[in-house]
Amino acid sequence: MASELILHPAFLVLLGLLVLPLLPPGARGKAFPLFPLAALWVCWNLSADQSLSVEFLEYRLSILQVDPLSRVFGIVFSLIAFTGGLFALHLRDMRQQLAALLYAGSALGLVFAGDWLTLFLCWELTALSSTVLIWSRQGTGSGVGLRYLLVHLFGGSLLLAGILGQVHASGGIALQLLEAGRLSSWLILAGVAVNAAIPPLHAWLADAYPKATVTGAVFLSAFTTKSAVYLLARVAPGWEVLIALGVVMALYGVIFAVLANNIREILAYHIISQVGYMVAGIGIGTPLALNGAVAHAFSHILYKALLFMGAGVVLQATGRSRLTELGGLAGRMRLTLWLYMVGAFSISGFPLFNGFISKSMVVSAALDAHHHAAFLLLGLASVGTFLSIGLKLPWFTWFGPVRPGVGVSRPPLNMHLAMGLLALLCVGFGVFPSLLYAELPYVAGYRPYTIPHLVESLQLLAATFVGFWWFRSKLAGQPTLTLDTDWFYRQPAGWVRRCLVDGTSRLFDRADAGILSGIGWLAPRFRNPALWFGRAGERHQGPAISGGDPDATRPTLELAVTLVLLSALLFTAIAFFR
Amino acid sequence: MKRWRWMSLAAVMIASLVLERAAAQDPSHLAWWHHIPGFYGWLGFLGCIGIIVGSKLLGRKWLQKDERYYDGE
Repeated sequence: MASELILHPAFLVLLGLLVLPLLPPGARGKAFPLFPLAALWVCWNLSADQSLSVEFLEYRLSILQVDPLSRVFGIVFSLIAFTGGLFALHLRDMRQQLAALLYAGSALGLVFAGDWLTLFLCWELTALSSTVLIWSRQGTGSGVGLRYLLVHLFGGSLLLAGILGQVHASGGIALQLLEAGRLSSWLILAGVAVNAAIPPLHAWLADAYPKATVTGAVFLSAFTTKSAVYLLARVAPGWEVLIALGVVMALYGVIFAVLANNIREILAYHIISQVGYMVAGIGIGTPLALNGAVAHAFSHILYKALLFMGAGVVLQATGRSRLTELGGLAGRMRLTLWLYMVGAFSISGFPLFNGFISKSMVVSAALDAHHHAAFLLLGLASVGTFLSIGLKLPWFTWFGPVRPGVGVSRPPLNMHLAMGLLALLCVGFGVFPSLLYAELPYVAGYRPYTIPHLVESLQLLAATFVGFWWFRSKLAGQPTLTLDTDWFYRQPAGWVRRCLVDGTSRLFDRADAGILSGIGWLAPRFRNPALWFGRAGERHQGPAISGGDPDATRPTLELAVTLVLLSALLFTAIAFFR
Repeated sequence: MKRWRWMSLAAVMIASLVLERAAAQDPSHLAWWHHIPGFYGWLGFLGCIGIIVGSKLLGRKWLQKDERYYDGE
């Protein structure tokens, strides 16, 4: 059994949890990427029929169930954990390193899980481990991490309730397609919607990701939302409600990114937007659309990690991440700028970049399936993506007015190496799409480089640039906060605390004071029982506990005790002689 | 922006319009907008302005608050 576990990619990554603490602090960062690299090798060599199961109570847990869908997600999860490790090579924070390994390992465990119980365990582990990556950033405060954790525990509870219903109805724990019309299916869908950041359950993402550590945000951008996309593709392909939700996501992220001032918040809102394409693709449900959703998840993980790395390098080098505090850095951060721009061209769907070959699949599938409104609205979301990620963010960070007093320190070489590797992959898959298409799970012929696709993209992008250039002054960052649906739990937080915490605390304080004052009243009376009989003059004499001079009342007490003893003797004698 | 960059952009637009006319769309996927010349250009330009104006309006009237809005929570 132990020898078989070594063939599970998740266990190879989790092995790092045991090994890393034994290494000297300086070697931990260098050893970190080796574990996901080994997992990548194993994932690449997994065959579609491989499986591994263990007995647990009366259940047989299927901890490794390989098919083309899980394999492609396993490959990209291992790949991004490796490049994330390369980006964080210089890090000397074991808490973050272990959390990142646990996060990557549980995400891999999730995509290879063949049953609901294993999946749920991994689901919760991703939530716990990712919270540490938010908590680890100095000066962020615990509030944001706590909100993140509570939202995910809420989502996990919905998922668990759904799983229990599903297991009860089907009589088994194996992962199966959800059946429409069942409450358990909707509960599972709601639980997954939290992690997929489907509005209105999305606000945790834009709240937490900008406040994560520089290296932690790279891992966060990859695993949580994409493992939810994987699960949707696994259990709910063709659910039409997902088309509408996906389109809403795509546009929602675009609108809020225009208003955002923090560069990592702009990127976070565009995770929601890009995951919208995947959710819509899963909702369309044709082989081309599902392949498009999977391919876009694959591409998105690569370019979004690259973008978060770029923003992370800016934060690391300048200590700033607000557009209102940045500007004119191009001359001092040329390499970071160009590597970031590769990610920006990819997410915007420029031909020859990986976003083009995957996003166009989803959009084409919408047209093929005659979802014309979805096609046009996803096209509109593409405009917004290029506007915010390809134009607004780089313009006001690296170009635009120079901010006085912004120092730029040199980032470690490994950060640029990781960005370079991802940039290479973004271009590589864009130029040779068949490398990715060969790994996709469904059979659906698709050619991205056709004249109609190129015309569509070039016109959209060129015209968006013109619109941006004319209106660019309107897009300058503003030092404001944008309300989102987290208002519904952040705004009442003070009121809830006042009622449930402060109110309870006040009640305890008053009860405490009442009990102390009661003790203060009773103590002298037990010490000097004569006080019970109303020796008014002595009631309030002396300190509360001493109760005055006990000798003063001793004769009275002697009389009382003698009377009691005599009565007892009398009654005993009567009882004895009867 | 430098003149040659605007000219390159114009060249891309003109080339895309010529290609649009030259390469016929798959008839099974034809929709009403395929009959409008340069439709995706219009979608890009008007969509870009619409997103900027709409988002800013939404922000100014409703969603944008002072950065310390939640500080008392």
